[in-house]
Amino acid sequence: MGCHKFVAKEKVAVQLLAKRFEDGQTLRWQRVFAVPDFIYFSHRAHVGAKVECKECHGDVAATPTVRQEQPFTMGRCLACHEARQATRDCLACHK
Amino acid sequence: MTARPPLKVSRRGFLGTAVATVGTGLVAGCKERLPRYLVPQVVPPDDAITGLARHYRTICRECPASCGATARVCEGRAVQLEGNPDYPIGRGALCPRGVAAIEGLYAPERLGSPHAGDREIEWVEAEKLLAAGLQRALDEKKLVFVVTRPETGQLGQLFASWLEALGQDASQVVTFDAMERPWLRQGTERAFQTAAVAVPDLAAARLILSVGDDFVEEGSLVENARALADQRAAGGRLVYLGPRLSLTAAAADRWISVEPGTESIFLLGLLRQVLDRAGGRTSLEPAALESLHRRLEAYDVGAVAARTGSDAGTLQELAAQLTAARPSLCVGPGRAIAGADATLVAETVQVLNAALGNVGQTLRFLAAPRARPSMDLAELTRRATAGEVGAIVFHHADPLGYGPVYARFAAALARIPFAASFVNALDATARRAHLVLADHHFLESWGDVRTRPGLVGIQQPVMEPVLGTRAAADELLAVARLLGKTTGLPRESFGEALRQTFQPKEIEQGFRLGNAAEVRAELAPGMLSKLPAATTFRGPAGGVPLIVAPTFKQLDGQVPRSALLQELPDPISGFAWTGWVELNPATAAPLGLKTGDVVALEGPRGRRELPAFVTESIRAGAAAVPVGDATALLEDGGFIGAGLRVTLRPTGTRIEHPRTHVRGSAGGTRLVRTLEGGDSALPPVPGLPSMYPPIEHPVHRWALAIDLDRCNGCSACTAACYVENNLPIVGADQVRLGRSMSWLPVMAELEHRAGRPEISFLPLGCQHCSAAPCESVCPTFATYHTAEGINAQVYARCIGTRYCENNCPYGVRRFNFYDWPRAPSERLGLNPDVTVRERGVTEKCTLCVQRIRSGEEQAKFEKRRLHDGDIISACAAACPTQAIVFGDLNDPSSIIHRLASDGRAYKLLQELNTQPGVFYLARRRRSST
Repeated sequence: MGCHKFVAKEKVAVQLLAKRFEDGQTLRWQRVFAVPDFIYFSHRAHVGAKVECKECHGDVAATPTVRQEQPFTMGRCLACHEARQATRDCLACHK
Repeated sequence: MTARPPLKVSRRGFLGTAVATVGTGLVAGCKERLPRYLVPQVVPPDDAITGLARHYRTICRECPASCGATARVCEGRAVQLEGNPDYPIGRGALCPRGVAAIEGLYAPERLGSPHAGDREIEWVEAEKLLAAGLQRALDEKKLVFVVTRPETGQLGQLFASWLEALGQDASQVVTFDAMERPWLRQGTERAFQTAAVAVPDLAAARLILSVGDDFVEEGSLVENARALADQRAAGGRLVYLGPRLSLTAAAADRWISVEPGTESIFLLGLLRQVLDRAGGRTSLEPAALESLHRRLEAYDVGAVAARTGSDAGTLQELAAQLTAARPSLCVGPGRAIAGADATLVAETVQVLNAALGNVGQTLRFLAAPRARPSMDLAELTRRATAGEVGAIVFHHADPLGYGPVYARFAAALARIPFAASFVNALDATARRAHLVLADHHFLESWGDVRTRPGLVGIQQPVMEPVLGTRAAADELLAVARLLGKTTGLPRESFGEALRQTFQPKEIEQGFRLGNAAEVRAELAPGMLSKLPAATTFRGPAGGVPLIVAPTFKQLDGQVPRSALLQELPDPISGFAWTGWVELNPATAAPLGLKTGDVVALEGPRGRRELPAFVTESIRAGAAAVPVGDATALLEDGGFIGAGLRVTLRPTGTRIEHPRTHVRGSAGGTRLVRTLEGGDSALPPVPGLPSMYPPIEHPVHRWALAIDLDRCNGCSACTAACYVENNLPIVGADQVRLGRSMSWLPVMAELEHRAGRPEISFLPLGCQHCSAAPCESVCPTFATYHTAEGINAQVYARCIGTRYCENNCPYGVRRFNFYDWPRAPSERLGLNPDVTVRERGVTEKCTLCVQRIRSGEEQAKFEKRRLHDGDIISACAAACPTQAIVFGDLNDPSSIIHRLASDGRAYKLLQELNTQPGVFYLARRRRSST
């Protein structure tokens, strides 16, 4: 329980979450953002290159329910790589 | 995790049926799906970051050699086992069996819960049953025995104190190791009258004589392979005396074969020659020397040559070379030639060492702590037959898995009222036990090994247990508590007690290093009071001597259960998924046998059908069979190889030979190049014109260098590649169709020099050409050359035309004919950094691009340059002899950069101008006797 110890404690969903945490139960978190399993993606590399979280994940702070709003396609990855003059080598992502 | 019932289908059957069903389209493909849920971690582990691997040092327990190991753990699951570079045994490498050990964790046939008969039971009930069985034995005043694999550390002590707590004697802990070679220890004891441990130093010897000792195929083989490669690189030589060209003999500079069974006579002739030449140099008392001389009188050169079928010159020259090489080293005898007089032959070998002045030089003696007296299997058999034994507990020991070899014990076992067995998967002995207890895998449990004086290897759990297994030691303690007999036993769990005996730093490095006192050893005055005789062969008339051939695939003397080991072809015969019988053309021709023809072998006790491998790498008039397949032919009472004759009868059936890779000098292009005697460099190759612009590698040029003088064909690289890159196991039928998916098979080439056959090995993977013929024919640009020198394959682009495979001059590209089946449990062991390829795409070596990627990323994260050795491919990491070197050719400080300008460096099929990134270092052939 990181942020939600302090933030949005009045919400029912957050209270439910807190209770499960206190009971030591796991929550089956739905996966919202995913890249195909033949793709290698490293957060460390992207954060290191100063890519902001919201560029891919959207403005989570202002979103009531997190949703994947942009497609995670090769075209989008490449557009960003090109704009930043990052590598365009296939093997940078294809594993 | 809940326990799962074991699959009732055998591994081989599973692969067979699964392929068939996929092939006929009954099952939708096994496409990998995205996990729909995230990794739930309410209490995250302190040191784990999802997506980053962790590494733990431990010990490989696949065989008693107990090499140091490092486990790579991703998301809480061990996915790879490599060596521990700091551990003296193994020095960073493992054998194929160690590499494949990871498979045992996730094998579908692994047991997850205790069983009584066919019934799966709870642990509570299992403990009660075990306690009841023991209680009955105690009530009836009968003996309780523990039969265990070698446990040299605290677990062995626990077995002894557990028996003592039950009121039994500690000597009732029987160590079972079918592949032990007791004659080596006994022969040394006879020669030197010492209980100290003899430690040979292969690397320090100028000349090694192996008396049929296949030391890179059994024993501490990883350690030996490295020592031999270092010895040869420093100019040392190896001479091998034995009936067949084994891997060890192939690594030698000279293979001498004599009439099977007369190796001991040859050795006595050699001893006489050496004494004549160097008599004054030995530390022998004159009287003892004189007496030995008298006894060896009959073994003059002429008589020995006639008796052994060798020529006098060979014997004299070998004696001269051994005397001149200071120090030299003689080892053996190995299993292949060990007969009834093996102990006396071992004694002769040690006397030869003493006569050559090797004691204290290449043969050191270390003081060993006094061993606890314990009974052997023969004593146990005697007592059980007499009805004295009331209960028996097996611990990873399977005497019944050796056919008739322990038949008397099998009969005696039927007289023991209660038997329990701790195993990972059912074996022949466990099938006969009343209670089967599912033990942790060695990667899930604590332990320690003391295989050498002064060295303690620490085995720590690298992950939480996959199944509902329990540690054997803790179950024994629990049962002792149920019986109320806990005197002298630890209160806490065994693992906890063991952990407390080591410093955290020692656990982190995987071992504790102490001192072992060196002991002076001198020949006993009464040595060689009895000389070994030639082996006489028993068995059907008209038969040929049976040679029991050790192989790295069968380190425990059994046909492996591991699918990966089964699929690895034998480096010389090329057979996979089956045993074979090696026959010289001169033996096979009169029977009309060709390679692949199935032969029925019949010995005094058993019969076995095996495909023939017709080869000049075995002497005429003998039949060699891998040890695990030979057990069916052996006699009761021990695991000594030779001494038996078998008849050969063609059955008229054939097993297609899967081998596509063993080349002879007669046909095909030779890939292995050799450097003769005094030459220091291969002839230079003229530059070739190219129609393409030069290919630039501005930053890195990743490449492999493979030293054929160090490679001994052990195939650890092949196995490591399977594990690292999620290569599928395709099964026997598909292998025979030539559909093995290996990215780095080891090729063997046989050639004749001076009329004698010699074998060299060559690991052949993608050559990562700069001007790659495969790239220009790909219609979808699925394969291309990266700026860092990798011939890349993008699976998502590949549509499976197989044009690339056709156009590759090296034949290294592999096509996925199916979605190869994997049991659900086996998916847990997949490397998450590598895609599982699907049906219809081509694949091949990627130079472990996932390791390059993560190495580069790590360096960038730490804001530093990459150093040589930061990134190492799986094959290079696994290689016991360090024959494979991975590195950046653009880095002038790298080892590979230096090797590229070595005089022995060459590229395969250089005349095609494919400009490979992978290069080889030619094999050295030294002039030998």
